Amino acid sequence: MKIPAFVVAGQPNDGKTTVVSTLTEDDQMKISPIPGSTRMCRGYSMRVDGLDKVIIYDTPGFQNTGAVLEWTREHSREFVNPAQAFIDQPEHREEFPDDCEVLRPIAEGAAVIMVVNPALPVMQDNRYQAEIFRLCGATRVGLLNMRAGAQPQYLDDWTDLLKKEMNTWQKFDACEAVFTDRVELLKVFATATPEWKEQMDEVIVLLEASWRERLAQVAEGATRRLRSIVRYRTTETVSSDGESELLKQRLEKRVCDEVRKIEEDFRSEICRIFRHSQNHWQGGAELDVDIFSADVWELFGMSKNGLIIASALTGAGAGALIDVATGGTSLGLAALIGGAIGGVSAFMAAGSAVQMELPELRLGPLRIPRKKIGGQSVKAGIQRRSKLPGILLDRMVAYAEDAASWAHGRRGTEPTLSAERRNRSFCNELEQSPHQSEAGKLQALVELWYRTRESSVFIAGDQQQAIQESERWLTDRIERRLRERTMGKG
Amino acid sequence: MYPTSSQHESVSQRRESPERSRRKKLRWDLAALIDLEAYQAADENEDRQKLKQRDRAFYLAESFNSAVDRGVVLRRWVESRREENREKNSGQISSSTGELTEEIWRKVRRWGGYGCILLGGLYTWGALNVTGRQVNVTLFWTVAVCLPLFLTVLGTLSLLNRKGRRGGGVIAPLLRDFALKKAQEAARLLRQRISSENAQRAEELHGLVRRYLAGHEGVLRVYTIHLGYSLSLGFAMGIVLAIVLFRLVSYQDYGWQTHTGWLTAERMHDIVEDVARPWSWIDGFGDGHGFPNLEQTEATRIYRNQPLLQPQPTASEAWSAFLLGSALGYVFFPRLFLFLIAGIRVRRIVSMEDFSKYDALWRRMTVATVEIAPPSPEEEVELPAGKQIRSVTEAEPPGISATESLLLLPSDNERLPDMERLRAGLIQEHSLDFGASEILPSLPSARRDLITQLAGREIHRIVLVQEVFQVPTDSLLKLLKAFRSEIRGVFLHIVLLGSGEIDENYRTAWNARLRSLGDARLLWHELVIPQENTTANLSGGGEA
Repeated sequence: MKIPAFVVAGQPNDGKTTVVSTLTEDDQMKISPIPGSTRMCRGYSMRVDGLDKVIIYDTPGFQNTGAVLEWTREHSREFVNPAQAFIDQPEHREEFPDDCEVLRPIAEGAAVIMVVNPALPVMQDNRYQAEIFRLCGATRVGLLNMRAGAQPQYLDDWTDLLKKEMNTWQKFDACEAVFTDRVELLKVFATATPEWKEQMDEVIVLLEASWRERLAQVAEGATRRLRSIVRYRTTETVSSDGESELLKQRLEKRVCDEVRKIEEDFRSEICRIFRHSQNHWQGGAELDVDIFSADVWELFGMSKNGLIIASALTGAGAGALIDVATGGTSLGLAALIGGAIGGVSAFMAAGSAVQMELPELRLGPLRIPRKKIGGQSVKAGIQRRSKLPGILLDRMVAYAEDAASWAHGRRGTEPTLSAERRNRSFCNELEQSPHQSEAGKLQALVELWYRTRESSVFIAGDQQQAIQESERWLTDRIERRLRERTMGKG
Repeated sequence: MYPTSSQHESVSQRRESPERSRRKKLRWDLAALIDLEAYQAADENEDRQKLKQRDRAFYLAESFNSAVDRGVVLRRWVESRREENREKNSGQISSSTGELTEEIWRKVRRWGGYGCILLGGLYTWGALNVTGRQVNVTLFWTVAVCLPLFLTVLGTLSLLNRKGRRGGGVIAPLLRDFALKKAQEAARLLRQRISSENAQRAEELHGLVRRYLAGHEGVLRVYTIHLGYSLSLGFAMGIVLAIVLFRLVSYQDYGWQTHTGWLTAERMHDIVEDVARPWSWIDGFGDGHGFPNLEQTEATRIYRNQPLLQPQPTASEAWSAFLLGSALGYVFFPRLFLFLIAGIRVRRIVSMEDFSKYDALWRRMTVATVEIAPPSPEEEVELPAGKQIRSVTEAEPPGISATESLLLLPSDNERLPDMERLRAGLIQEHSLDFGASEILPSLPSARRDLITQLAGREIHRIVLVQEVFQVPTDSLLKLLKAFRSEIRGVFLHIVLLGSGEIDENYRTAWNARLRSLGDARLLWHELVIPQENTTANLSGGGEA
């Protein structure tokens, strides 16, 4: 067989389909908790530019291990390819269809991945299977499917068996495996099959490149959407002064809906990039909460009160410096005023993520709000210096991380990834970064976006260049973060 | 990743095709750069998956050498997008944004050049066409040669010094800010007056220009310089043409004058001789022909309030040749040289353009598409599913003694509880006593022997112990069928043994498969015997 092929075999319910599902990133496979529910033999082809490179077969497992072993023991010396000889017997195809299906790829030269469950004892059937594979002359890789939550109490027994009967063996948790684990497993397969090593190594390199491309796509998508949010502006004309309040509510809702829509759009793209179908995968519970809910702001950013206190303290600190500079003659007035300004501005900013721009009279540098706004245009967008872009970015990165780390073989269990969400917020990481300017860079980029939305037609070349450079920095930074989470720091 | 070797082979066959040699000639220019930016902007909101497919397919179809330069690939990509757009528009719009911009630029240069030739010609003609007196050579030389030369030198020096002044200065940034502010103001007013749809389009177009300006400032600068040199070359050409034309169709006397006593005819001749050095070595353009000799110089000196000099045809011809030589040597050729240099620089800077920022596009092209293809439905091998038969269960008649009952234990029975505990559990929970026990072999031949042997014995009940987590396979079902066919009336009891709470999934699997046999005398029970505890518990049961 020219193309590397692996047949996943083992006892029913040892997690063969889960392993295949994780390796092939296919969450559409039916994984039933009821043992023996795989009734089909399926070959999943890993294609590079449309060309088959590796095939992985998911099988229902042996149904007549004893019979197959007996026949194989008896005839293995007569035939060069005992597996093919077994299948060639017409009565075998009739009587042992499942077993023929397991043996068919082996007859064609596929290597065997024997999936075992160390939470269950080693049975006679398992030993028989290992012997069948050996008698068929197949390359054998033992896979200890370390299921999360299940106690691997028979690990030693299994290790002994795999050491004796397999060419090599590896531990693998198909429900928790991230990209690196999958690559590591493929490397084990490559080592076990020297005749395919070159092809397998090529596939691994291509897979890694493809994964990096996916992460870059995610990062670019996050940056693009963040820019759309910050720059978003909606306009409506007020027909009479009386309806201004209603109009404000309408505009506010429109802005919020736009933010939700963009976030939803990003999530759909993430699911597509990481090949998750919406029914089978779930992000962290806190990511399901509406972005404008107070809980989200508490979790990702800061509570309204916290924000006001922090801003007031910052303002007071700045004022205190002036007090010190005046030698105390200002009697702490500057600190008081600074604190008040900081607190009030934070209160106003924290009050709503949406900013209304009411019509105004412009007299040179002076801008006077119009009292009567009937017949005028009112604009709304994201509040300047709002925490919303930061929170949105955190949520997007967190969602992408969850999606990238969610094994496709995993079904319907609560993700364990969400517990440390606060600690691993992307913006927090920027703030704590040894490169102190990183958090400032993000703020500067948001500010640039904000400023350029006001004069969206003409922007000075250097300003535009600054935006492009900062966007590239942010994209790279997000990509780096995702790479570290899914591929390790190396 | 790069294309596979098989794909390279297919390409090498086409390597020498005319199409391929045409591709080799593709070079970067302003049009291509703008198009690259424009196509990138158009792709921004497209579906990434489709873009990946398109760009990867392009890359593979082109089969570039693995060491190919990014610029070469991107240039070819631009061309392919242009062709694609032309096909899409079916010839309605033949030019891309970049080509259109380049065309406009070329026209500005051409017509601007013609305009400058005319302007230079009129300017010179005006200076030469004086009536009633001689043309003042000193004055003419100052306006038609010195001034343009000075401007050329000044322009070149300021360009060379541009890097140093960048970011500094006071007036330029102020002017720029002022212009920007006014442009923004005008745009705002314009936006209010045009429909929102048009405003949107205008913003998109400006966005593109903005994006381009930000990314390719260097290229745009050299293009502007090249345009400047084209226009100034046109002006110089106008000067030269006017002098030549004037020599051909008109006659004019030339003279020189001065107030200083220092500038004698000898000194003037020396200066003129030095100025004329670039062409005086040419045969026929020496002293007295290409520039006036001492006598001619002396004879053409003009004194204010003196009667006009007699016409001096030979001296005037020499002066005219001197002026032509000056215009060519000090205005036309330097500008031509700068024009050519600027042209080379345009090509060079365009070819040196940094394409590293097109990472996303580059990745889409070069990173192989890795996908997992699930089997197509016709490839899938569906195995025969167990029949779902529900039959009526026959109750076991009372009075089957222990001696008529046989216990069958699996061959790998080391984890089973000892016989006493098992017996106690079976009797207590299911009233299943047995007189003898046997080990059920795992190989079919041994099983067949066992069944033959049992068929000859007086057995009415067989109790088969199975560990509950051992999911029933076909081989077990075959065994049960064999029992049924060989020992027809026997009651088969399967005891599903567990050491803790039995998983509902195992229960479902056992129920489904055993029911599929449709055997009225097949019954199954669950028996839990904790590993440490001697008490047996009943958890449930089932029947076929």
